[in-house]
Amino acid sequence: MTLKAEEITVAYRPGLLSRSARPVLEGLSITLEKGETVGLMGASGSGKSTLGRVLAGLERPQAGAVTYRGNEIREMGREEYAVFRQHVQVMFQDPTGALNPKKTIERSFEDVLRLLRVPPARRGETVRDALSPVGLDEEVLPRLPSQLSGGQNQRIALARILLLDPEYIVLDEPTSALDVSVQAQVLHLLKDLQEERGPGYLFISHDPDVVGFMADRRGVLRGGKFCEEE
Amino acid sequence: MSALLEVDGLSVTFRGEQTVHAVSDVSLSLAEGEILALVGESGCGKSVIAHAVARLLPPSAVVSGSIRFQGRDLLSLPEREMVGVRGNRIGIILQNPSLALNPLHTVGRQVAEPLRVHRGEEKGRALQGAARALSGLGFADPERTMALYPSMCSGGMNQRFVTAASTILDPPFLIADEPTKGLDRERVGEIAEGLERLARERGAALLLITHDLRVAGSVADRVAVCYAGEIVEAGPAGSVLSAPRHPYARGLIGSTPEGGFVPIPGSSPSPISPPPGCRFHPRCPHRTERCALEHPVPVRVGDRDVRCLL
Repeated sequence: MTLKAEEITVAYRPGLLSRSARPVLEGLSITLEKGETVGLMGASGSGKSTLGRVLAGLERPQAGAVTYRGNEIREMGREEYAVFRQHVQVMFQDPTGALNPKKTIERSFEDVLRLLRVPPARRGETVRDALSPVGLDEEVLPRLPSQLSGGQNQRIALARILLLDPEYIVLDEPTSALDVSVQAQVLHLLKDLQEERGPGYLFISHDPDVVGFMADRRGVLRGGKFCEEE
Repeated sequence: MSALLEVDGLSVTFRGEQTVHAVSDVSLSLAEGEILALVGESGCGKSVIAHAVARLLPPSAVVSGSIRFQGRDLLSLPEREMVGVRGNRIGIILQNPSLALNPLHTVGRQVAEPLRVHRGEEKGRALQGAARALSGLGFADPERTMALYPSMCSGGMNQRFVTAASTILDPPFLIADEPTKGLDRERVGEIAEGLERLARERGAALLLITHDLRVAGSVADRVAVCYAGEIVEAGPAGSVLSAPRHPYARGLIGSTPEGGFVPIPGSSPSPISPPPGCRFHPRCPHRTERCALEHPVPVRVGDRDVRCLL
């Protein structure tokens, strides 16, 4: 089972009135297998995050196709597309941006549980089960994101993603806003979770040390194309 | 080298619904021309120390201890006199240059401003000074650069504008608060080297606040490691970073790429209710019963001061 992006081209117009579009990705292809980590590097603006969003179905390319379980996502029916969106998740750089600042952590979890149609009686237990693998306990539930550290919020974002039992996670600079000791904790946590549950990761980072530690394969983006692959 | 700055027993708490113990009993000194890096993770109090020295803390801050700069006690200085010290004698480079710069004013006007405010120079002369300062920071065409607005420039460029404005009066003491935060790695090296060169060329002392141990190692003469509002280890940069003695300093260096990303278990304590005894003891792999009961004071061990009972 693979997640594939083939011959992807994305271009943005630099301004509302400009006629020509600037290509960000030019006919780029990438394959992600379950259980592996592909590192994606490149300077700011090189298109790393755009490729991640395309792969997760959050952005539509001008050309090319994304296929999941052998089917192109643009041709999927509603139910099949919902399965794709559930099983291909994105974890963003800024964990506080991923969580609603006005909702307690408990309410942020409830939104996901409602979508998964978990009966109210089982929600408490489900949340506790989700927090445990990321090293948190129920103490965080009544708090707001602003009352927790960056590392704790990033773990909560990950716990919410894990509730969806993802097969692939696009990790977009997941540790670049974190302190070094918290970064080390989150990197190890991601590795442990991959070993236990086997999701495939697209690990986007500008830090070659972090990518070297995490990735089985890696590619460097420049000018909308891979300039290095190994 | 004589002491330019002497901080003794500095404590800072913030009053609100709950009292936040941001800095506790911090002592440090800085000689003329010396570069001291204050390193540690978010919330450890390193920026609060820098802001206390520059007297830039909000009114809710309660500050105790003493801060002597060039023999004067900054904490008892009236604000009117402090305004003359700040900028003129102490240059402050704040983190997030995009917020430190006014988006509505040109770069030239902002870099020249200290010359106009502190020295009363007329506009044309101040702008000439700004052009020289920008040229010294590597801008090949300073006249053109001065006409730009901050939004037209990259984060690295804006950081250099803030540096130019903070150093244009040639202060003997510079405080740089996370000058490389949020920049790409290539820019980080550029900014750090630029700051070091600037301080060394002018013989200015530099208090560098950073979470980046690489930057601290490449620039500083001495390093002080902060944890939960206290300095837990301080000494020569080379020996503290290559052979740290305090368990937290060891853990911090072990969690870097060079240390193999080995995490420290647990998380930093809340500054509202720091643990009794040694503040690191709940996470320390070497803790004893004594660590939970007794609060350690800094002890001289070889070439450094270490706040540990072990």
